Amino acid sequence: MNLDAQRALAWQTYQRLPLPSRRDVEWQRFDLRALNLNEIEKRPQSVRVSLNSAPGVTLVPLVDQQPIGRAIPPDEPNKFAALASALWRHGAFLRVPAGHKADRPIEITCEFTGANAVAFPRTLIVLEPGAEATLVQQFTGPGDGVHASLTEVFLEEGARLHYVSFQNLAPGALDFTLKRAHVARNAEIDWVVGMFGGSLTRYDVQCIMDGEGGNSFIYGAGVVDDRQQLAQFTRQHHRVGHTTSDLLFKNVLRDRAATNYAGIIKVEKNANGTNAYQSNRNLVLDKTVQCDTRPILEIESHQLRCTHGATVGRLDENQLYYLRTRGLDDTTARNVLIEAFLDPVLARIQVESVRQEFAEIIHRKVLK
Amino acid sequence: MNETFEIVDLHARIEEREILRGLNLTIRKGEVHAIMGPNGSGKSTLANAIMGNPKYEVTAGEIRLKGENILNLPTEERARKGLFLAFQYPCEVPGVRTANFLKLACNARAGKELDTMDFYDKLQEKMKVLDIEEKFVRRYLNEGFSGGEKKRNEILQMLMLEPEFAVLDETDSGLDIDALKIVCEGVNKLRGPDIGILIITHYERMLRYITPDYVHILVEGRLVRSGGPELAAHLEQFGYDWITKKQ
Ligand SMILES: Nc1ncnc2c1ncn2[C@@H]1O[C@H](COP(=O)(O)OP(=O)(O)OP(=O)(O)O)[C@@H](O)[C@H]1O
Ligand SMILES: [Mg+2]
Repeated sequence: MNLDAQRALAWQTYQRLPLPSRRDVEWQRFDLRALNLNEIEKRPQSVRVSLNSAPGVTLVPLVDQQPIGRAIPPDEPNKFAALASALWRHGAFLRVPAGHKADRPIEITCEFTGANAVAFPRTLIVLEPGAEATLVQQFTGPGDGVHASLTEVFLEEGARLHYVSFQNLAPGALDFTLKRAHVARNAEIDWVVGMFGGSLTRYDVQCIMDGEGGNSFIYGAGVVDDRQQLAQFTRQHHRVGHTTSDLLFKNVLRDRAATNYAGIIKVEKNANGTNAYQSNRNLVLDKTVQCDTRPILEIESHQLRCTHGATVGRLDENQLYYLRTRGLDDTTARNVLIEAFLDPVLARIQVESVRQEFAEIIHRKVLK
Repeated sequence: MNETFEIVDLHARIEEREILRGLNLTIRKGEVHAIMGPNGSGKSTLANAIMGNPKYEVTAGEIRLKGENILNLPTEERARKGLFLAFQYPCEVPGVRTANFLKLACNARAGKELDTMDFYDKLQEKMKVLDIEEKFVRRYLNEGFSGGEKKRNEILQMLMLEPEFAVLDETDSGLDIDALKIVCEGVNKLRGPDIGILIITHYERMLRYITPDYVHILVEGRLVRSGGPELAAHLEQFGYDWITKKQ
């Protein structure tokens, strides 16, 4: 389907799908009043995409490169994904050729700038067989309005991608993001996702295990405060067996923030020998927050290893006391423990400078 | 200047139960005191009351550091003024790397941001004293440490923070013979006119390496007897029966 046809189908899909409502389980207890989609197609799009490549890879603005729309089709049953598929104008395309190992991190920065604007940054990532790369993607900027982003990832046979992505939008942004990765035989994605900004944020992070020997590691960190609302949906879809997915999402909530995590593990009938792990851990810093977490298992195979778990906890008084006996004041001790809670996610970032940048964002947000 | 640490008629309780019932003790800088006492007699309660653990309520008495009553100070202020407790059961803090934590603690104690290179030089030196491997301080604080490693880490923190008065709560338990010797040598290096030390122990063993100036016996929340190092030897031989009967 050419791009114009995709856009037309996506627009139809967008119009057909209902507006989100608090009656939907996925939005329950969220305040959606700030969400206004009237004449959204007429609002100015203001997003600036900057690219920082590495030798031997293709990194260019997204126009109509293939296979756009194959991971996230125009009739994706997700109102905001359909909206972005219909209206997007800016984006990035990354292709790492077969067997090539990118020797430094590749960077894509999508900056949302306008006031009362919209942004639909779209990213297409293809790692050909045996390719390896580290990609750091940031969604940032002072813009306010609706921001809906799409990211499609294709890891071909034996490819390896270390993908660090974080969203650090301004408080006026309403962000709807869908990221979906296809992982072929013996390929591996090592994924770290940071969710920090926006007043209303929906983050969908999905991996589809298409080939035996494929691995997905998905680690997420969310820090929300000041009435931020963050809905997270993760999906680990094992189409074939002898594949592994390991997911950990950790959130810190305070000051009337709300999170709603729903995680699906789907294992198809003959996907024997699947390993699927899912865990959602929440650190609640005061009593004003709302925290919901729902694991959902759709499992048709009988030979697999699968675990899932969710916790909602507070800071540990003994740990606080221990740190204070060494001279750390109460606030510092608390902040140290909050950052400690997220450290297992940070520790997944393999590039020191990127890890530090990520840590710095968390640090600033925690200090706030 | 008044270089003493004084505990005056201290009463403390936990969950409505009175544990310390009028405890008096004065430690001058340069001195090493030891407290011995049966399980549950209140030794760790004393240590925690000194540091201001919010779980323990002091109902009467005073704790004076160089003349100043510190009972109203929060735990961290006490630490910054030079009090230190090596815990009987050090807490595990996953996610916090030992070296990073030590840096924060040393900054807090110094009241300023220390130079990173100077800090690491000092850390290396103290690790050498305690025969601690480099990788150890890159791990999460106490997480998965063996009992003995945790105790060694407590003493590393003490050497780094250079307290004016330190309480060692059963630092010897969990240490193997070689480790005990190393740790005691570390403590002895710190020993001197600038520090007062209180060692809580069940065994004379540790006191053979660190000879105390005074030994006290704590029974049911009070110091019931004080003496020199010979008291520890006597206890080892006769047990607490001898004291409680005599009372
Ligand atoms: N958190 C608590 N809740 C209730 N009682 C407690 C608590 N902590 C201590 N106690 C009680 O207080 C008493 C004194 O305990 P403490 O830990 O001070 O003894 P100790 O002398 O250090 O003993 P040990 O030699 O076993 O370390 C004990 O009877 C103990 O059971
Ligand atoms: Mg004790």
